[in-house]
Amino acid sequence: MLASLTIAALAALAGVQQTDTIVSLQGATRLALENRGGQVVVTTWDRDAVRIQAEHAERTWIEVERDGDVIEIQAGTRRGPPTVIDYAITVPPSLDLDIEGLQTAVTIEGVAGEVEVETLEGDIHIRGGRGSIIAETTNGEVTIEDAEGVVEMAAVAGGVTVTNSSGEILAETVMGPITIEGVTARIVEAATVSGRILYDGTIEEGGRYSFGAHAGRIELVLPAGVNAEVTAVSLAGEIRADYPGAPTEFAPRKRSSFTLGSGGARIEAETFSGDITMRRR
Amino acid sequence: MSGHIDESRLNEYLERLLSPEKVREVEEHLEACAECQERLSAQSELVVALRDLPREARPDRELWEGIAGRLGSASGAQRGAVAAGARVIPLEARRSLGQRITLSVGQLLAAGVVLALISGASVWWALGEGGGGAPLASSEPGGIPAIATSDALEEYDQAAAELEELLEEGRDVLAPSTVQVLEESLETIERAIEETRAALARDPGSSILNQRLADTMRRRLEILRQAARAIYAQT
Repeated sequence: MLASLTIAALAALAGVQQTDTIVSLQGATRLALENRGGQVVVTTWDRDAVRIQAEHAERTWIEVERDGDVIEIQAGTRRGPPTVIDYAITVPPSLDLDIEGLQTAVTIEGVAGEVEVETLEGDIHIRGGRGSIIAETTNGEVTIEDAEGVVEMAAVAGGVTVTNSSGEILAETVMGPITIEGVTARIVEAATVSGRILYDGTIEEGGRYSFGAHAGRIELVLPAGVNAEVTAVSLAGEIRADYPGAPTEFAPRKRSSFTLGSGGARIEAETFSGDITMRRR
Repeated sequence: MSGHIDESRLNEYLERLLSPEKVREVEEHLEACAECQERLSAQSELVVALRDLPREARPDRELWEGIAGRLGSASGAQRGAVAAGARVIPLEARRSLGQRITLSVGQLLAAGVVLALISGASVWWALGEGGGGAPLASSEPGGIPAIATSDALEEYDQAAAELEELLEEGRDVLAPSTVQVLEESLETIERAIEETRAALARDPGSSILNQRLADTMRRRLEILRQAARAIYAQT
């Protein structure tokens, strides 16, 4: 959002130039892109090539280089650092992506390779991704959907959301909410300071699910028939469980442990002053 | 207990967070499982890994000088204790079966703080501003690894304050909205730390509170590191 506003302002001030080029993969398996400011939108097609479309200032040019099996995209400029560049990149679905930015919003649609995105200011939205999927922003939100693999996401004030995904989910914020819904995961780790955590996903046999907050609320929505050892503690908040087999009362400030079904998975929820709620889906 | 002991439970065992019943379960399993014994040993040797952590590197930017100077002021074995003045104690994680692991929560907390500090100091390394020099942490070859005790908390506070100073100095290069996000986040974390410390003062033996405090303090340094990286990238 911030980046978009900046782009609009700068485009009005400077002449805008278009770049549009297609680079054959020739064995490349990864695309690395650095963008100081602007938007990056990645979509897919069925060609073994990468199309790079960019809108940028006249004094800026786009450099595309090949380093081993990596296609690298960055900007050059006649003077000063590259300003705002809007990229629209089209890639084969299996190409791995590595995108870094400062004031950069990133949207990735329909990919099936590994994804790593890190930006300072700007939202990150990823649909797809297989293997390692990493998204981190300081001033923005992260949303990931339809991912398979190890999903790691982090934000500070903004929220992180993962939906309809499977594998391992690792999520962290300071103030923003963490929402994990519709996932099939064996390992989930969610940690925040003052945000709230919502988990609505499967509890797999042998899986490990860890939720930690300082002042945030932890809300667990569990499917029927969960087999898990559960540990919950809230030092200054309340614990409420509305789930078959769970206790109906919890001692304040004490770590409470109980077993649902035959055990097997492990669920840990811990907060300092927030509440913990557990209920059946 | 079926299968092997998972990583999380091993940690809890080392941190003495398990109930006596669970401790018995773990120890019974350890007696019969060489693989888990090895994993326990590896985990309790956490501090040995300090030797392999990033080395001191010196930034060439004025912005970093004060902090680098202070963080790098310790030398030799003192680096393992983060800074001069931190008391260094030997850590002997007894691994023989039947002996309860003697790492106290305080020691583990301190170890965590040391690691967190090294992460903070490794900003320079991560930024590629040089290398070489003495290890940030070290132990005598073949000797007993050293970690800082809870005295390191004060050093931690100092290092965090220095990084906050960096953020203050570099705030002009960041977008105001980002500065606001960082400052609000740090205030939130600071409040959490204060609340946890206050609770810990009332209940100093609480392993839960110790762990929460260590986690929150690590988070604070992570945010400060993020800010430092952002400022560096912008300049």
